[in-house]
Amino acid sequence: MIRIEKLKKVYRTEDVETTALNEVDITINQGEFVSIMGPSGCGKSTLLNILGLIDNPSGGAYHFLDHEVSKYSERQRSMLRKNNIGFIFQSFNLIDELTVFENVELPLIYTKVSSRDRKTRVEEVLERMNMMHRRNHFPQQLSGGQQQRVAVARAIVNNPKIILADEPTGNLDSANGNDVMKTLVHLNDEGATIIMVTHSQFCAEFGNRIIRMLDGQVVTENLLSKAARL
Amino acid sequence: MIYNILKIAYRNILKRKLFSAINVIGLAVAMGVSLLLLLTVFHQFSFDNFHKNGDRIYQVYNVTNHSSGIAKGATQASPLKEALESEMPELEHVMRWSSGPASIKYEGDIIESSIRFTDANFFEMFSFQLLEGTPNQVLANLNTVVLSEKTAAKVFGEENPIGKTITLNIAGKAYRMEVSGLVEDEPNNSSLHYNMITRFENHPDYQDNKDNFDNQFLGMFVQLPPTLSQQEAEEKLKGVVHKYRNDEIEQLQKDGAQPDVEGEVYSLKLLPLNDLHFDTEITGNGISIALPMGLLIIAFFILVIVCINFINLTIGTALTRAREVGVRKVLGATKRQLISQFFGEVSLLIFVALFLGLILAQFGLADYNQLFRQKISLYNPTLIFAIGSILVFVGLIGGSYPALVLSRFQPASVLKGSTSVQKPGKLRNILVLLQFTLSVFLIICTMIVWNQIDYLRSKPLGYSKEDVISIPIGNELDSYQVLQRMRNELAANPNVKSITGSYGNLGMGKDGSRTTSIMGFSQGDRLLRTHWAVVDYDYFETLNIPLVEGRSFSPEFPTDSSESIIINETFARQLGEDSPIGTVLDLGPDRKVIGVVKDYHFLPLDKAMEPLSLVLAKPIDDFRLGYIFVSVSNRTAMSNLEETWKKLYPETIFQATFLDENNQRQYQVEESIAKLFTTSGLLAIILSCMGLFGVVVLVTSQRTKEIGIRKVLGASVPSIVGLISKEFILLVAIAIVIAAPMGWWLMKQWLQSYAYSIDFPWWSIPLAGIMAILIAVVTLGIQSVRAALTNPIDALRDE
Repeated sequence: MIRIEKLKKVYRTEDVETTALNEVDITINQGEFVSIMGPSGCGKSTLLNILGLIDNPSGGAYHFLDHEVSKYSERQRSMLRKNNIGFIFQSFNLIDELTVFENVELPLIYTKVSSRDRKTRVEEVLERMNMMHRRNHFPQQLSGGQQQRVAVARAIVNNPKIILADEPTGNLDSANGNDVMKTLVHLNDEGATIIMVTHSQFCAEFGNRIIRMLDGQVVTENLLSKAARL
Repeated sequence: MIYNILKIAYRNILKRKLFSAINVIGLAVAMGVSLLLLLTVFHQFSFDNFHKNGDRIYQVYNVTNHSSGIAKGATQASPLKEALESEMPELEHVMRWSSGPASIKYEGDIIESSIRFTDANFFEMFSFQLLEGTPNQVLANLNTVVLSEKTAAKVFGEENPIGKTITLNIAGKAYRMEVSGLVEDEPNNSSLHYNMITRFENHPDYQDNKDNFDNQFLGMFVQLPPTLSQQEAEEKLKGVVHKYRNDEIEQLQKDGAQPDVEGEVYSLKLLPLNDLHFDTEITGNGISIALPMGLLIIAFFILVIVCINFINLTIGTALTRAREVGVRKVLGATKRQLISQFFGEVSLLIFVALFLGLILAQFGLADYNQLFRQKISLYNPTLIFAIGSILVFVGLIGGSYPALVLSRFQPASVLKGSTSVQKPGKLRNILVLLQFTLSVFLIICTMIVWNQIDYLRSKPLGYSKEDVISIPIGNELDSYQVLQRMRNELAANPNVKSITGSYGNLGMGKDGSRTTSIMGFSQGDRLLRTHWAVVDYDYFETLNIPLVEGRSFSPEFPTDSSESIIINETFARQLGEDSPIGTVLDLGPDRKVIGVVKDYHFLPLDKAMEPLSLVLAKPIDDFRLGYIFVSVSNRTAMSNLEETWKKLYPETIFQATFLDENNQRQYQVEESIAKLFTTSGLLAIILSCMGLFGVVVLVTSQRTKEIGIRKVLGASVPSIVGLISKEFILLVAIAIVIAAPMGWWLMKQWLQSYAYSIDFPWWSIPLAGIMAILIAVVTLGIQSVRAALTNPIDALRDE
């Protein structure tokens, strides 16, 4: 599903050049739940952004659903992104001016789903996330856990093939964090491919593979048994 | 999608109340004001464009290359009509046009009015709508008159005027005329005005001058056939001039006139009807094109300033919306969708502002119309153009740019919380600089215009203006008898010092009239020109105009009224005699100079001093006295005069004014310009400050963390205020440096259009600068002090 070869990302300022990713090779198959771990600045978020087609690599190849996308234009990436990828962020990134319902509805608007279908699908997914009773609230009126549940709902409402989560529990207490992780596992069980960046070993172990990074390179990859996840 | 855009727009507007208010209020005021200004501009440029054949109608004017310079004039002699018709038969129409006062008598009522003298083809040439009568018939007979709707209503009320006979008193003679037509009042964008129209042959000077090329007293219009260009027609006019005006040409050549590039010393030219309204040189009746252009520039300035606020605030607040843009992009929004989103928000603001602007314009319309003495209304087809132009301008400049900038954000970097989203500091600074440059420029202009007006109003004119009252006599009364009766009645009044009469007024009276009359004559081998005034005894005494040499008119010299003349110093210098007293001037009948008066400003101060001749009025002349001047010892004497007048002539209106009021009335255009500059300058500075305030709020919110850290490290409040304000104060200072030479150059040009003007007041530049800096400091101070006083931990807690 995803194959990257010798992927590089270099940030340049006037006189400093920082290599965020240094010839990274990773393959992720459909249905996997991959956790990416590493200390701050190791390049894991950069990798996630490139995998999620919201950033461009500086070199190497990126095959996404059999397309070589490393040289895609913003427009082409946007097309692939909105139809195939769902995002979950540490800071939720809900739009403050929109209600819960409207936030979840947004991806469907951009993929031009009819308004009637949108309503059905948003309600369905809010029901599933147990957020239906809060559908007309604004993000500021919700707890952190609730906000992240809305963010998850937004990520999955388009039935994406792959869900990218960047520290999804980073801003949550342990109970809410646990809830979110269980939801992700559940989605993975239903067939979604999940790639998650995390600092937490506990969260990482919900996945079936852990990739550890250091200084822009993959240092180890561990496969986890199914039993360890639950 | 549109619903979604509008919904978000609405919530965003409510969320950012301060910025939305600055944007909406600023835009609304700017739109309202520029709407009014643009309507005036469109109105001014629409003058005389409603005539079907307007593009082929021209006014004939003459260009004379005197040895002293080129003179252009629109007055022509009556027989030129016949000359043009016989020499240029291809002309579709030749028409004379002149005016005079006339009173209408109908069933015992007398109404003072004015009458136009023209030819029978008037209504065929010009597209004024006849409500009764046909264009080619309505002036077919000599003893007929066409009334305007307004005049007909005054005389006849509801009655149908057609076929009725009225008695017109024109220059002291009674004419019985039949009303043959009714014409719609002229549109307010017409240069030609009328109350009554009759045949030219009824003009009081027609009989004596019908074959006289030397007496030029009328306007002449021609209509060219479609096949004849203006240039070709002017070429043919040369032949007419050489055939009929050869004596004039020879005289000019003898006086040393220099031929122009075409070798002519005297020529007839054509002024297109559509240029008539902006002609200040030839007919002198038009307004300067600089006025509508100035209004256009001011509208442009105001819109630019408010668009700059819009751009600065929208882009500024957009920085706080970077995350939203990032999220939307991640969720699949295309650039186009984002542009539509932001453009939608901007459009909503613009439309709300436009609506408020229209309401403001409607409220301000009455005062605005009064300022320009015009009657424009918002319900007029040009409104759509005006709104269209404003929307396109504001939408394109204020709306597109922020939309483009916002949609360009890179999602990965904004979501990371990276500050790599460029803060538009440089652009913002340039825009603030531009705003303040325009504002300072307008402040400088305002100060200079007011100074010049003050100078014009207060400059001594060489005659008493504070304690002399001018009373218009009207057309119906016997003017000499009126003067005599007033003299008798007021003789015993201690408040009245002296009384005289005159053909023309000084300054501009309540009736809006200003009179000058110019006469040209040959003196020896020279052609001289002089202004001409007909006055009664005690003229100089009443107006307190000193005699430099000789004596005043006196009843002790019975020949004064027919043989004597008094001239001003300028004319005396032109005559070039050591002492002009006793010089005989060849004015038809010879007149001997008996006195020289000190120069006084009988013309408005935009004109230089010119030669003036004064002769004594005599009742047997055609010249009537138009005004009585009364010198009084205090201003309360006005009521005495009114009582006396009403006692003597209860049926007429008393329209007396002090001469200083007449003088001020002459500068109404200048006063309008000054008021306009003041208002727009004020508006510009208020709008700029609103924008500056918004920008500083943004800057301080963006620099909250920096301010917090500095305070933790020990920065004082003043140093923080300085930190925030320094950059903007510098911008205002640069603005002053740029605006000063602009203001200096433009106002220098303007002052040069006056024969008498102030020296450029250099203090106006530093004063404008200090004002701008002070206003900016206050604006900046409010927000920067607030930012500096914030508890540092409040600023850092966010992090």
